[in-house]
Amino acid sequence: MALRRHFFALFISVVLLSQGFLLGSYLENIRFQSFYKELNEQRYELDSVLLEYEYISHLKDDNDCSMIWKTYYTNLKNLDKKRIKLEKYKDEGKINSEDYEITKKDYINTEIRYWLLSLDLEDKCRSDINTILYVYSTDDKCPKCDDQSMILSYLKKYYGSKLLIFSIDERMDGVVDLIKLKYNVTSYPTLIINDKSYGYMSADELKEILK
Amino acid sequence: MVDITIGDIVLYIVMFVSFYISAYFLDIILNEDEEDIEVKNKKRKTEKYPSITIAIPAYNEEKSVVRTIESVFKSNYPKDKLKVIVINDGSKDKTREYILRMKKKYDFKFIDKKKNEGKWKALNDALFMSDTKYFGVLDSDSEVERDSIKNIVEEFENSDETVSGITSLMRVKNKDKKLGKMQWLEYVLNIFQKTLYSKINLLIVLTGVLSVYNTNILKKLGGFREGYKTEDFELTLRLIDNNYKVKQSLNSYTYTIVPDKINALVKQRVRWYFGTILNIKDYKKMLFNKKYGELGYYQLPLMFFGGLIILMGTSLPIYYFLKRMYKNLKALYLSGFDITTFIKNYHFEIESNLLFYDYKMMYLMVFSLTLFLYFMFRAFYVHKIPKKYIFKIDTIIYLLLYIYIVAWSYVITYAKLLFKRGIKWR
Repeated sequence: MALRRHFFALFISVVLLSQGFLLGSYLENIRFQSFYKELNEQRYELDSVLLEYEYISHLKDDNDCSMIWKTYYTNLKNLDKKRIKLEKYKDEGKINSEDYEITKKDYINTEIRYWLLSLDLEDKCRSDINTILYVYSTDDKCPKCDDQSMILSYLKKYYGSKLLIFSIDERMDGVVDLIKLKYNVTSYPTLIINDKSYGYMSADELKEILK
Repeated sequence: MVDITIGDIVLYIVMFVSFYISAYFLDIILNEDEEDIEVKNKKRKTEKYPSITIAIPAYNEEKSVVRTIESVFKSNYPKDKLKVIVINDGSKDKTREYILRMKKKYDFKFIDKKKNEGKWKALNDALFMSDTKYFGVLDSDSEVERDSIKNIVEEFENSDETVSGITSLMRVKNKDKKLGKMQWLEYVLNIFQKTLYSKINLLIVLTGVLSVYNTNILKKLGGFREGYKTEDFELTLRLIDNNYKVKQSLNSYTYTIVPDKINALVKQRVRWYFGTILNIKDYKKMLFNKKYGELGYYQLPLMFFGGLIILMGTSLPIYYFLKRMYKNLKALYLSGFDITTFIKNYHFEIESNLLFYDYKMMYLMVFSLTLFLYFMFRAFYVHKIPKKYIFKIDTIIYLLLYIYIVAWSYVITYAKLLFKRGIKWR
């Protein structure tokens, strides 16, 4: 009977398709949870860097900074990898917006801690390292933000460990508001380099400033 | 839950249709054995062979027309019952001379048209001067095997009088080049598909390569029509529309020469798909019409919309690839084309975290591939294709290219349909 054949075909198709869909969703949830766990580990690592810093400050030995920079930089690189991962997941629709926002807040706070630590380290240790605090917006307020992110990623590759970039979403409250106030941030993207604020900058313009 | 993108939806639609068709075939295969026995019991040998006319229309087929004619006369059909009519449809090459040369060797009727009027007209010219019981059409780029004609006639004689036409199975003759090999594989899978469909009495088309008709029925319906250059499909639908039956022969084979250049292949496919869609449109009353059973509910809609599914499936990887390319190019542009920095910092990272991969997509891909391989091996097994034809890596790469050639043919077909431009003959 032809109808039976159609029911069979429909049944198999729906089963296979939903299996794929469910498997995908299940794995993606696990993926997200594991990502969150990794982010937590990142916070512990930040803690240990802060501890190292405290210890070194105690020792009042101004010149022994190389060790802490090394640890600091490694941890920052790991954090950055997670940022890229997080964005990739978001771009390809692998995590939903709600979970993403929560994790992002967490992540951004961690970034800001690293940024503050970098300022302290710059104070205590002479270094030729530049720091950029990149304030962006994700809604229509900032059409040039995608381009700016690409430029900053490129500069990261260009300068290697000599350039530190911290990205924060302007929509967050708390310490981000304070930062916006201090540097009078009204439009996006805004780049805060060596205590001065700038708007959208091309790769060449930034290379000029960072000299 | 996750966000669903357009890419996901397209993927699900394509996968759903693929799984549905596969499950449909699977069901036929799983229920195969019972129906097979019934068919075997019905076969009886014929004592007296009826008269049959074989019409061979030829337009610019100087390379193959000789072999076509010879294959008919080398067949094992009783020569006193076999009439052959060769029509030169206003060819501009040496076709006419070759036919005349053959006429010295064999006895057949030759209709020599000065003007090219189309295959359908040529066939009608031959049809209305025939008074044999059966009328067969043979393409001038194809060859019959020794028993091709006999097998079809035997099946016709053992069928009831509502059967109006029986068609042969097509095999590829020129499979030496890569393109020919791909089409050979396609035709093998097609034969497999046709054998499965014939088990449930479903027929796609009485192909112009070799089909035999009941002459009286054909004359009663007025013969062939233009049918958007796919007169074989148009006639099939018309016969079904007039409540006649059509059948697929499972033991009659014809070898046809397929295009060996991509341009020629695309041209051929565009002609097929264009004609198919427009013919179905003419007979759209058959769609989802209870009277026509599986043909109306399943086969015709599939043929009508099949191109869209293929386009969706093939454009997805291109879309994702272009998306990624655009991003990379933009990054390059914004960096002032500093390629060296990108090269220095490029490291090919295989994501160590297994959770990174898109399992949904992978699962569906793997499953589809498995199904395809299953059907292919099954087709090879059923039709006893020797194992040496099972392939190597470069064939698989070329197979992907071939799918895109077919998809491209659909692009052109739909473009033609949208802009209704006329087609050049052949």
